[in-house]
Amino acid sequence: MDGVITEQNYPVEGIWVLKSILGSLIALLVFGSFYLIRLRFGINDNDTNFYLIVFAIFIPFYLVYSALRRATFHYSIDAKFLNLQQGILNKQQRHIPYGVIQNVFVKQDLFDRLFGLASLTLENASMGAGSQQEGQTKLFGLTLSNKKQQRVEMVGFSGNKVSIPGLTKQNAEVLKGIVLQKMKENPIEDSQSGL
Amino acid sequence: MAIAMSKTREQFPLSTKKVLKKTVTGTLVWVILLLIIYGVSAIFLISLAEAIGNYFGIVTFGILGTLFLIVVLTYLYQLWYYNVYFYDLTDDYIVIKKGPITPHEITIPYERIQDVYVDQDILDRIFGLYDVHLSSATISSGMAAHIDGVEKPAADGLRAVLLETISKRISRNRGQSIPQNNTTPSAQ
Repeated sequence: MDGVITEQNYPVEGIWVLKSILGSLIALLVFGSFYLIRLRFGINDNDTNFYLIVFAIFIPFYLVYSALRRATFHYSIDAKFLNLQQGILNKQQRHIPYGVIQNVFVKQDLFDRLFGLASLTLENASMGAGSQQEGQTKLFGLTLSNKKQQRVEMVGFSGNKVSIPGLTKQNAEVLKGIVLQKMKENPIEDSQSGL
Repeated sequence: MAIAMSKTREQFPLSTKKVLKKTVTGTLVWVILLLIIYGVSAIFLISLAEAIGNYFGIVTFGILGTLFLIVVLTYLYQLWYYNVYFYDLTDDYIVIKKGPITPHEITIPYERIQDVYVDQDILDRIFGLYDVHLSSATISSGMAAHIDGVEKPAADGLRAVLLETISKRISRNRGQSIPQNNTTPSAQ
């Protein structure tokens, strides 16, 4: 066997941490410049001041949060299970048999394309313990596009989803191939198909 | 621009009418909105023409020009979208990839397909198009996994191929599981 594949082989690139705040940063720049224009016309209101400052303070926090999320996320692809670990304060582990993976996404958003990244997302049909409400991971992720594309993707698993963003495009394709191969090798006995 | 061809797309092509249909759906709201604005401002400007001077021509030009620009841009985008639209029924998986600017690719194994579903909305009926949906048990696959804008023969063909492959694979899996179930009692 060719051994176990982990995040050491196909890492979440460091640039992803930067990418995760890029949306917020651009938003801050846009609002900030609006604000400056307003100041030039002598309009000053404290509410805007306050929100801008809060927003500006949160960005470095979010940067640190992203970096920690990235550092504490581990996956390993062994013969039978996809093993995942995550959590900065409260640790979580998840083990997914390949047979139950429902579908595999490879997505690139605008910033991903800029940096040559791609995100790999796996989904199973889980509704149980591991799957809390989705969207809890949303912090200052700016909703950049329509609702289908959702928010800026956080690394790790939540709901019925496992996201590994920030892979290079090439790594994402290779990893997808590996996972698909594992799914093919490990079919489950009872088909969930309704047909 | 090169069309993202696959064996499946060669066999069951997307209709070029899809571009038109998408342009219509994409611009309909704008057309209606701008025409209403145009109507209102026309009444307004004509009735006030003596007081403020004649701006009717400029407004007509501006609004119709904007409308034209929106339609042309939407059409070009939809053409691009049509060109990069990729779907392939491989031996083991269904792969669908769309989105020219932010690409989005879904891969589903045949065993996980929950239903195959063909529908037409009202514009589809006008243009004679069909949407073939296939989804796994997840919500996002329902949104991502469909092939829309094929004509009737292609829709029927796709459905037939999908149903055949799915049933073949399911029964193959069942066939494998029966001898195992006889030797070992089931986990229930």
